[in-house]
Amino acid sequence: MYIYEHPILGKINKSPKVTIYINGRPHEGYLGEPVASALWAAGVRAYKLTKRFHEPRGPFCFIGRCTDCEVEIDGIPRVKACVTPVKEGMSIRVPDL
Amino acid sequence: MKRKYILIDCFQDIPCNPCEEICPHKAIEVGSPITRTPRYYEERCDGCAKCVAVCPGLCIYLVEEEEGSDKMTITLPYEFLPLPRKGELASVLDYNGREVGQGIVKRVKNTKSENGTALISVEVSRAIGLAARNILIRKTDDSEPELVEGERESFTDFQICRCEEVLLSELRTLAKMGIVFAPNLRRFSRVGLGLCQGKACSELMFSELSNITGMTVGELGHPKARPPVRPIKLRELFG
Repeated sequence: MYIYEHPILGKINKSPKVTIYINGRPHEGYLGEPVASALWAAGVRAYKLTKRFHEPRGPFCFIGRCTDCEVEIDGIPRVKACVTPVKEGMSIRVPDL
Repeated sequence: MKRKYILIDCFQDIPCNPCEEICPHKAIEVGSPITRTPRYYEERCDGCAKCVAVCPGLCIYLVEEEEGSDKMTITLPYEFLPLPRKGELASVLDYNGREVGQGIVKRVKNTKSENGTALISVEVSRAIGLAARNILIRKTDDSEPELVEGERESFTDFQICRCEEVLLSELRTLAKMGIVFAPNLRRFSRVGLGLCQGKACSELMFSELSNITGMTVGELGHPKARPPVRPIKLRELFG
């Protein structure tokens, strides 16, 4: 789900589409959008379960502070999905909850 | 007799005064300092609704009422798409987003001068008129998730620290045991020792402690902050 028209900003020009891989499966994403946004569009909203209450967690603060949105990107663990831009061919690993 | 006046839901002392600047009749006054909440002079107001569109907080509403009529018209700022159409039936929502009744959309104004904020005028009954804060157009295919009965009411506790999953009630228990010196409280509860390094919870902890004890933040002591400011990879330190 993307916003293509905004009541205040008008029509939104999207950047070029690129292919990213979520757990090995190809998905479309827009170049430069946050990885969290591409994951959301692909239907992935929870990235982990918390240790104590086993609650699903995903993007919360969206500004790189809360660390709830950490995923594995291109083999590097604990990368914040909300502040990492999407690139062509990026490989993202999220646990299947 | 017709009466036009505005309602202002502005109650925070924030530095903001576009309403004062845009009013051609000086009917809204913020003055100095700019953090004051606006004062309204109805006798100077001609109901042009410029302030309704300009308020960044969308918290100004225009009311039009006529003596002897059981209806009134509320003009409210609307920043959603699609825009409602004239004559459409709208659910009227109050300040908390609860549906308080229904109204008929009388006018939809969306001009460049309002920077995209549309002005929607809805005719509502006088009984709910002053409570109207927004509208919702229900589509026929709207399948809204139903609120589980009592879901909101049963809410009693929340996590004050999301990283370490510390509940507010646990913090209160510790504070009642006399652990109110912030650095000590941090050691006992682990609030602020998680991955985000207290960025999300510190302020909550201090305001809660301050509420419980009546002490100022200065008196509560400040837990020592140690570098790095945010988590980094060891590789970045040692190459």
